Parts: sequence; structure tokens; C-alpha cells
Amino acid sequence: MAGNVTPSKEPDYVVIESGKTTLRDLYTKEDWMAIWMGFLILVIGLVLFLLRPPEKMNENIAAYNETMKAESARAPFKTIEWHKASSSKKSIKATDQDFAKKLKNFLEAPGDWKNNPLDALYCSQAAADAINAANKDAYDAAKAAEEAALEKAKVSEATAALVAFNNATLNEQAQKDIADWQAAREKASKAKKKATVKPFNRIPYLAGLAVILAVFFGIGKAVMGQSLPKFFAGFFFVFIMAVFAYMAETQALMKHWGFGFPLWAIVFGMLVSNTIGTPKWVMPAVSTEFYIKTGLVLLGAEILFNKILAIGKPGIFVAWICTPITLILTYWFGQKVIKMASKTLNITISADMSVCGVSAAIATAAACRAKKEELTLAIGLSMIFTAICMVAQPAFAKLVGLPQILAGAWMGSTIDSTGAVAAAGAFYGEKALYVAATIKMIQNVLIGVTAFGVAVYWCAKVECAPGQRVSWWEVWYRFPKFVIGFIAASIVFSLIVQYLGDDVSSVMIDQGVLRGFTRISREWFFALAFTSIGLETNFREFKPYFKGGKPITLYVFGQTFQLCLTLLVGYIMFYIVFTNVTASL
Amino acid sequence: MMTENKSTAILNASRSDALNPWLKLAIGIALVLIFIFCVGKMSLLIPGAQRMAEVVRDHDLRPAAIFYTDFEASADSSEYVRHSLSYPPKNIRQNFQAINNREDYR
Repeated sequence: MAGNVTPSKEPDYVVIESGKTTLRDLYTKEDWMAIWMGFLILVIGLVLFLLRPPEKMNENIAAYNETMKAESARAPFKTIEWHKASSSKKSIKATDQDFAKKLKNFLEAPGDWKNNPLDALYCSQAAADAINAANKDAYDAAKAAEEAALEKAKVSEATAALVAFNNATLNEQAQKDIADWQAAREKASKAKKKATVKPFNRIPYLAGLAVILAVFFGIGKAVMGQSLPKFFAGFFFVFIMAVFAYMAETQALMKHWGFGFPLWAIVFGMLVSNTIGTPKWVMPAVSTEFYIKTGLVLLGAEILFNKILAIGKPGIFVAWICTPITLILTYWFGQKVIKMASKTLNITISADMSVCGVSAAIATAAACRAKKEELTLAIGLSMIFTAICMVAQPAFAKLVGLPQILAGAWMGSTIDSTGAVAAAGAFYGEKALYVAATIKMIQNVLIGVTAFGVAVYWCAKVECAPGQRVSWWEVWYRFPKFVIGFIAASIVFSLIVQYLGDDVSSVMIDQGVLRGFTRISREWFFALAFTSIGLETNFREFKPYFKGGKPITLYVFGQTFQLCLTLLVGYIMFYIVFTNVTASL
Repeated sequence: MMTENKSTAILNASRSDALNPWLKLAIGIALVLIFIFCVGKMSLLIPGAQRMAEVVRDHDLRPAAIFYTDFEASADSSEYVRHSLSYPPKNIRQNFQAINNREDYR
């Protein structure tokens, strides 16, 4: 079509070689600009949240810790007061303050919907009232059930306490009743959420956000010497496509299967580029690398090395020993056995499958300069296998009768997508959910090490002629510089978390700066990046990759190996070596 | 007349070229909608899928989340695990036998 651009047949790279570094690169190259822009957002986040801690935060944390300490010394199981203190402590969040709620409201993506897409953007007062009225009875019933379960648990605990917790049968009964109360409380909490829906209109917020993001990235582009007005004009098209991608993810049926916005953004972008063609005036805003690198710098801040010990030593063995072994073996299998034509596709699929799906694929693809269609292929494979494993793994665990903690560790380490891990865990049981989500969080941290390792390996080995040895200076010249920002953000935030301590950092960093601000921004940047990938990708570019079905063979081999290895290591670690950790959960 | 016919034919051809991409786009959008509403609904017939949908809804999960910070259940879970390991019930070792019989541990 006249005036439109059809995708080029030439290979395009997620990250392009930037050559030798000069001082001018610091403000003309996207790698460096992404670092400055990413850090600007991180600094704004830190200033916004660290200066405004929740009222009486330290006193409340100390009081809840004291209660848990006293209760844990009193009984051989987690008492009612222990659970209440734990829940109250978890509910202290910097994001619950008024300014943070307003900020989140402004940045948030479209919400859930089932039949009418407009429900994702707008809910009138009358509609909210109708929803609340429809759910009121269920909430009242859930609340009454919770109160009854609490009374029963109190009686059981008091009976066990009468004999100083020395009667195993009474202890077991108390534990069971407390677990029932916990489940009833969870149900009541969810029912309350459904019965207290507030009206909303996301359209003005999205319009405002589009303008802010256009100015933000437009200034970055202008500093690098590109046209601000041209970028501005095209940006809104890309943004609207990204909003559609979010809306496809939040549709009830798609949400259940974990088909997220990255996939939809690529699909919608490709629909446009392969039919009517991407309009020429949109192209200045189709800037995959810029969005993805800035998003990755923000992702770096979420990679907190302190999280590695979240579930003690067995977690390290399951997530940090099995995963690298699988990654290396799968890459080796791809190169030596099935002889993959593209090393970058091989490592992107290997990292995606062994580490944690889409996020690992993005970081690895960027670190090794994979082509955009290779990243797209890896993400597509990951989402399809995730949807299968999410249902099949808990079903298998149930079939063979795996204990909850082992099943959680197994699913947490082997299902690609972080969100799907939680769904599979919750499908199996509460404890499985806790363990699965925590193991996955530890595994998420591996992204930093993987991206850095792959970037160095690629610069020092893969991109050399056979037998060629390169100096460290040469490695530095070739090194994708945004990875420095990615790693630096991770180190800085890990140090801040270390300085603040686990309790305060949980409130101020995890439930403040990250979840309240930078995480939401990072998601928007990735949505823009994937839309851009779609808008410049031709369907035909995928054809060579499917020859012989090698990507699928690679994925299936790696996943099968990881399933077996993790199950074995998980059993040894949680049920033979570190049984005290398992018993504490 | 001849020239007029030729130019009409060219115009018609270019119109059909102009229409084709939009038709392709419409077909593409229709396929996406069919996938979301028809295939999505049919997928619930897969054993376990209905139950998975309920779990996702009840726990307010986000299976598409790409990182642990993208959904609340991960924070709840890791905090619960941290509290459990920081303040474990007394005499865990002595009560090992009882714990060993626990349903979630077996």
C-alpha cells in the first residue's frame, strides 16, 4: 500500500552491534540512553516512596515480629495469633498510601473483562452497584463461615493449650482447624473484593499516560538526534496497539491460559504489518530496542540477590543448581546433537525454557543480539508449553501423590511463566502455591546472571572467528552496554534492600518502589517493544526456523530433562537433606 | 474507448489491490476473535481446565505474569515462607514424627 511499510526481508536484530565506545555514545546511543532513562525512573521511584513510609511502620513491624516470636515459642504449630500477626505484617505496604494509590491508578493497564471489551476500560456507578449487590450474599456467607471457623479453631487451640501442647492428637486437630479457618479467611477476603467493586473510567488515565510516555521517550529520541514531532505522531498508534494487547490478555478465557500481552502485542502488530502494512508515519515510533532496553534496566531493579535465600538452602539447590545445568545441557544439545543453525535462537530458547519464560527470553535475546523473530519464536513456544504444563503438571503430581512442598518446588522450577507457576501451585494446594511462587522468585533472580554471562560469552567466544582470541578491551567494545545498567540497577537495589533489612525493604521496596511504580512502567515498555516487533516482522521470516521442527525438539528435550532433574533434586533437598526447612513451612 | 476501458481495468485492479489488504486485516481480526471467544470457550472442555479457571479466579492470579513482581500472590507466598522460616514453631525436630504425618508433608 502506498505510504505504508511492509516488513523487510532483511534480518533485524533485537540489539544491534554498537561498535567502539566514545564519549559521544553516552547521549547518542540507545544502550546508554536506555540506562539514563531507566535510572531516572528508578530515582523518581526511590524519592517518591522512601521519603514517605507508612505511618508507624517500624513500631507495627516490631510488634508483629514480637507476637510471632512469642507464639512460635509457645506451641509446636502455627497458632491463630501467629497467623494473624503474619497477615497483619504482610498487609503493611507503601502502595496502600493515598499518593501511591493515585499513582498506580494512573499507570495501571486495562482491567479484566469477559464479553464486552469496554468493561476493561469503564465501569459506571450503576454497574458497580449491580456487581456489588449480586455478590453481597456470597460475601456475607463467606464472612459468617470465616467467623464460625475461627471460633472452632480457637476452641481447638485452647484445648491443646490446656495440656501444654503435649497431646499429639489435640495438636493435630488444632492445626487442622486453624488451616480450615485460614482457608475460610482467604475465601472471605476474595468475596469481599468481589462485593466492593468501585466505578472507574480508565480512558482519561490512558490518554494522559500515552502523552507522558510519548514525551518521555520522545525527549530521549530527540537527545539522540531524532525527530521529536515524528516520533510523537507515531507513538500513539503503537500505544493504542499495546492497550489492545493488554485487553486481549485480560479477557477472562485468555487470562486463564496465560496468553499474555507480549504474545498479543506481536500478533496484533503482525496483523497490521502483514496486511495493510505499518503506516510510514508510525515507523519513527516503532523502536523495539529502545523500549526493550529501558524496560530491562527497570527489570534489573527487580532482580534482588537477597531473595536467593528466601526458602533456605534447598531453594538454592533446586533453582540455582538445576537451572544452570539444564540451560547449559540444552544449549549443548542444540549445538551438538540437533545442530541448530542459529546459536542465538538456541540460547534464547534454552534460557526461556530453563530459567523463567518470557522475561528470561527478553534479557537473553537482548544480551546475545538475537533476531526479533527468534525472540518471537521463543516466546510463542514458551506460552504454548506453559499453558500445557500449567494443567498437566499438577494433574501428574496428583496422580502420583506428590507431597505439596515437593510438588510446589518441582512446578516452581520447571513451569516457564512465573504467573503460571502460581496458578499450577494454587491448583495443587496452598502450601504448593507458597513454595512454587517462592522457588520461581529465586529462579527469576538468575536472569541477571544469565544475561550477563551470555553477553560476555557471546562477545568473547561466539562472535569470534575460529581460533581467534579477543582482548578484554575488544570484549568491552562489543559488550551490549545496556546490560551494565541492568546489572547496576540489580546491584544498587540489592544493596538498598540489604541496608533496609528484610522487613522494611519488603514494605518500601517490594511493596513500594517496585510494585507501585517501576514494575508497571516496565510492563508498558515491554508492551510497546513487543508491539514494535510485530509492526516490523514479516510472517515469511519465520519459515526457515520451523524446518525439521528443531526449536520444538530442543524445547521438549530441555523441558523433559529439567522435569526429571528437578523432581530428583527437590526430593533429596526437601525430604532427605533439609527436612527442618520442610517441617517449618 | 479502448483507452478508457484499459484505464478502468487498471483502476479496478488497483482498487482490488487496495481492498485486499483491508480484507486480510478483517479476516485476521475475525480469526483472533474466533480464537478468543470460540477456541477459548472450547478449551474449558479439556479435563482440569475448568478447575484451573476457578483457581485463577478465586486466587486472583495472573498466569501471564512474566516476573514475580507482576502479581500479589508471589509476595504473599514469599512473605509467608519468610515468616515460617524466621519464626518456626518450637521443637520442630522433636515433633518431626507428627509433622511427617501431616497431610501436606506426606
